[in-house]
Amino acid sequence: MGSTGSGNFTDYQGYSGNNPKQGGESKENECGKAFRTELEDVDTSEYYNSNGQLPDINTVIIIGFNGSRIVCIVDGQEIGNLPTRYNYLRKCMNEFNYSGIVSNTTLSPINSITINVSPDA
Amino acid sequence: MLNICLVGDIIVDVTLKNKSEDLKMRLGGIVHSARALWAISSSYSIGYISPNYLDTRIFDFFIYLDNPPLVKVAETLNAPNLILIEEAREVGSQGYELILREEIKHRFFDFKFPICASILITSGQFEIPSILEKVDDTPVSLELANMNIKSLTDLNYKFKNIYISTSSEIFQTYIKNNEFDFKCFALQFKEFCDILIFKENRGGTRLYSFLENKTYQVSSQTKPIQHSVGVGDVFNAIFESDIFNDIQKNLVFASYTAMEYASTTYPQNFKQSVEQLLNTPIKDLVNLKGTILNWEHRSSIHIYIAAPDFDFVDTNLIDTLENSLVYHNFTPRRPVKENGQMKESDSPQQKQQFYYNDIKILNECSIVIGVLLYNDPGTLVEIGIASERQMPVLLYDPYNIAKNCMLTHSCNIVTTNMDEILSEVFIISSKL
Repeated sequence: MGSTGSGNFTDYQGYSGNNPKQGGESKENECGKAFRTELEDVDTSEYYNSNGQLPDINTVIIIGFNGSRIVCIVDGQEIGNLPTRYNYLRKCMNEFNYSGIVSNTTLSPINSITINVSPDA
Repeated sequence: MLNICLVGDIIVDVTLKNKSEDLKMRLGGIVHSARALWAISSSYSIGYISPNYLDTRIFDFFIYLDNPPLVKVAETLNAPNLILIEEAREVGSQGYELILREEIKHRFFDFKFPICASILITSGQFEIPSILEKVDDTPVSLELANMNIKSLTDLNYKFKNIYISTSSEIFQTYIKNNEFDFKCFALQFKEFCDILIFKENRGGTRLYSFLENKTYQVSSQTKPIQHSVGVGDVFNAIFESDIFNDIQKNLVFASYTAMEYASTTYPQNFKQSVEQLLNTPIKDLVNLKGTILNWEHRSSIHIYIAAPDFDFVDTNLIDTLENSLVYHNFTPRRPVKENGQMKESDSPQQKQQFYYNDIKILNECSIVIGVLLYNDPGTLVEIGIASERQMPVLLYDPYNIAKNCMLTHSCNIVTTNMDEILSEVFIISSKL
């Protein structure tokens, strides 16, 4: 059986091959990606404490940074924290604003909010 | 920002092709650290060790990394400086295979270090004394990697910073013989450095300063990663660069930069992300908490593995998951292994006893990981019980067969990727 080869070093800017999985740069930009996530700490949020209920489905949300967490905001009130795997959004917020909607809520077994988010074009 | 000279092997990292990813070949060793310094636009230089066949490629390659001064410290003989990497992500032990490791010899040159403010040596198979004897009064830091405590002691040298991780030989040997306590562990290094940096994978990093007799700690920033090859080297280089002239801020920035390095294998994307971080106020990054989970706190976290763990099933993936959890010092529980395997011919009383014994284990656990090798009723029922109790349930679904909403919505996450399961275990455990 013959051997196969694995080409050359490709991970630098200026590599001229045509395999999109090689080269110095990928067009994928995580800051430009939409996502869907459940929120954390919904029960202790500013919104739930002052309104005693969860926001309605389809309510418009924006994403902000409150000094220590990436948060989801409705009408100026935080409705919950984004999971820490979205901490990278802080650096993206230098260039992008993020908004979306409440896509789902549940009251049982626990209060939960799911949001759909996309970067503003 | 300090001008650092990076000293160590330049290696060809080959991440082997698997079912989902192509083979990826990159220059590694101190090149990982170099990419970090390039990304923060720091001046730096290179004192490298490699076989001669790589020299031209190394010179060509560094043109794209701001063309730092390059000095060849030694030639690697008898081996290609090539590492085969089975697993790009550090789910468990990554299976690094340095080709012809036992054969490696080095021929040192009569070299002079480029002018620099600090030297960072990443240890390898080479003789470190041959490098130290060339150092004037420039401070030297050392990544221990796979050195043992005797070879460190034999160096009889006071370093500026020593970097060590939970996968290092010294740490692994230490925990075999000792109950882990960070300060006691750190004190072994008192004679050898001013600062010890202890990297705990996705559980954060602790630092002990012998100058201040003080511990610092920083959280890890955890998100789904592409690879974890060289991520520790990136952390070291950023910390060493003293970019913010402040230990805590340097640790935080090193942690974020390491996360960005793990997120991509495209250098330009990495640099852009690091530049975005540099444009973010450092106080925001310091305040934005990630995951802290000290090594010694993990073993008290019992994790129930709900799976068809039977002798007539191929349980390789369950074994891998168990080994990965043990590697990170968690306590996985495999009920069938602990309580035995039920036979269809067992009496109702015996079956009831199996049930109670398994539930007893579940009661001792704080997280459940379901491994959906097929739609095994036992696995599904255990997931249901855990979910109703509001225990965190993570579903590892390697064959992508979980479609039913009662199943998928009983779980915190459903993923085909074991690395994501591990990351979630760290994040959830840090909140327990």
